Amino acid sequence: MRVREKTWVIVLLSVLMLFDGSLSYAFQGLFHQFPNTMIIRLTVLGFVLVYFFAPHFDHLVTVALILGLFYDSFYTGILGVYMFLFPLMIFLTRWIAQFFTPAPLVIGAIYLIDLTVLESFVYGMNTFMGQTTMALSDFIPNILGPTLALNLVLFIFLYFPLRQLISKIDAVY
Amino acid sequence: MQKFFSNRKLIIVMIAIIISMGLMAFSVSVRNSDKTPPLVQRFGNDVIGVVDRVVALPTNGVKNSFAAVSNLINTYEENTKLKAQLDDLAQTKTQVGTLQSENKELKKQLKLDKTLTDYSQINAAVLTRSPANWQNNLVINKGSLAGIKKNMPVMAGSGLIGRVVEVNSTNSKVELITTDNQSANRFAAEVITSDGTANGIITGYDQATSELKMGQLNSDAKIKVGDTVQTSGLGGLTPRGLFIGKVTKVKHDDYGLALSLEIKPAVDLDDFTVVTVIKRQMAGD
Repeated sequence: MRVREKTWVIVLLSVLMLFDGSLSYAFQGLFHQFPNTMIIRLTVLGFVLVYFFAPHFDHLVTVALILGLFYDSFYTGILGVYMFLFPLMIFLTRWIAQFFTPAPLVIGAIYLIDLTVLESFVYGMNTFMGQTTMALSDFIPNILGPTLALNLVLFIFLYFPLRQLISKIDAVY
Repeated sequence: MQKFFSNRKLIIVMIAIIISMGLMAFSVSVRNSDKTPPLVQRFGNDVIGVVDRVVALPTNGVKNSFAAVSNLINTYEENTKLKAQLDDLAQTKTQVGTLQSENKELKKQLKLDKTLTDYSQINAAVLTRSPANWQNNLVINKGSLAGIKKNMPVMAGSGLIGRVVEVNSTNSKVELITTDNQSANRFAAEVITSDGTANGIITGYDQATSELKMGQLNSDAKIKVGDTVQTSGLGGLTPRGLFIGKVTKVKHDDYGLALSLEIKPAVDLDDFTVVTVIKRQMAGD
């Protein structure tokens, strides 16, 4: 993969990261409806699809680390959360992917496993830092459930367009 | 033991965990200091903020045009209601104008320069919102170049919605008043009752009823449902007299000593586009 195509992949991932924030602001009334909260995770979707459909992109972990750092700094101001978790998601995807042949259904399932692990870690870290007092029994039905549902729907709609886009970038090399 | 430490991957993971924990502890502990974020981080945030406008402007444009269409449907009903209020408002406005100029004259005579109620406003648009709900942060499109400082209160419409927690040059982060964060700065508030005011602190937010909680009141005052709650201007950079909401419930504890209130916020805390940062003219601490 040449530098130009690499740049496009990075641009795509960064735009997905910014869309996370913009969409959660545009639909804030819808996403934050008591008691449910839906967290939009297009960035993670981007990482998973780039992992599967741009196998020639070999610095994905480094990119995840840097994007995670920016994500922390820009959205929350607390460093070290997504900076640690985004690369972890890629390792997790890589580890699970070795047991399966990639098909849309399998990739969707891997994406949901990634999100479950991610949200649980984020919840754990925020409890650890005293940023929330939510109980685990509230977190699972009120945040984890709706978040998985929202991202599953987004996965169904975005899987083919994003796959085409990423494969197209990858095929150019 | 030998096998445990010979595993290179495990060591890398452990180092990563230690670094990430360290960074988290560091960010949380320096969060309330005036010097955070460090210059490098501020620069990074500015760059992302500028790039984000490319994504945020179209998205917010679409959002606003949808809002405009739905507003149009409500217009007729709203218009009749507003017309009724308008006559009353015109009278109040002239009265406020007269009182304001009189107040100014009197202050001049007393050689009082600035008091707690004087403030100026900085308008800003919301750029984006943090996706996760753990930090209820908004990013707004004005920063230290526009004169924004840390801990300034932020309003939307007629009510208070939060305070500035981080300032970069061209954007800043606002923590909503609904935050669950245990180390967040709290607003000092007062209730205006028929016989004087009662001071207290906004202690939290009840998601189930979407109402704010107020506690630590001096309980001499007779507070009634429907009384107005506003900021008291005590401490920090908040001026006096920013509208927070109306009292909906007065609760005594079991011994009749401590008093706590529930307040209906003046604005919908999940629906706003333009915010106003309030700059107090009297210097703060």
